[in-house]
Amino acid sequence: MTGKRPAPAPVLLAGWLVPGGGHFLLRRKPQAVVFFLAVTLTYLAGMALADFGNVSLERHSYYFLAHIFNGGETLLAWLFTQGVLEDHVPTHFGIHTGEIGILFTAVASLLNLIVMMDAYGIAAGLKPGPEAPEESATAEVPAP
Amino acid sequence: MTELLFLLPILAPIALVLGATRADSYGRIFAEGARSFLKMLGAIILLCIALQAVLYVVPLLF
Repeated sequence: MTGKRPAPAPVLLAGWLVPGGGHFLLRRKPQAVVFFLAVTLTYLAGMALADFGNVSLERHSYYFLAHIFNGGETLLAWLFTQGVLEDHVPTHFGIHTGEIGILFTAVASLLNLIVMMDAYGIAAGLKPGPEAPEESATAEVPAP
Repeated sequence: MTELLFLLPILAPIALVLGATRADSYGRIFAEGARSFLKMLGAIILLCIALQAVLYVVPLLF
């Protein structure tokens, strides 16, 4: 990677606001795209399975502790689904999917924690990055 | 059983995220992701078999 490496704090913040945002700042576009799609689609699938009533501090306070790690999407979901009433059991294909949906959104948020830590590790120089092992593997061995 | 089918898709994003932390190009990310997915699926199947075996054997002992 060429150019100056961004500071770890903005990378961490970008990753918290948008999944993959930290990797985007680090100019790792393929990773940023995969992280964004994997986390966001899982989060949305979870919300759809729970009929958009699962991201709530009042109703699911323990799960909200996990949702905090996916800050931007949780903030949007919380703002747009505040008025949703959980007056029925979410059912899809004859199965009660409310708990499964809550699990999906919680796992997506915790996955974003892994993504944030990965970006922070690269920005802080704690992690060599994926290309480093290949470079070392192909490095020439000095003649004895 | 049907509920388990609803839970299995959660393995896909986990595998993809694991793959993307190890690779830097789309091809390698999906290859690593597929490898992680198969490993997790295999581990779950083995765990289910082991659990079933225990559930059959333990009642025979007592």
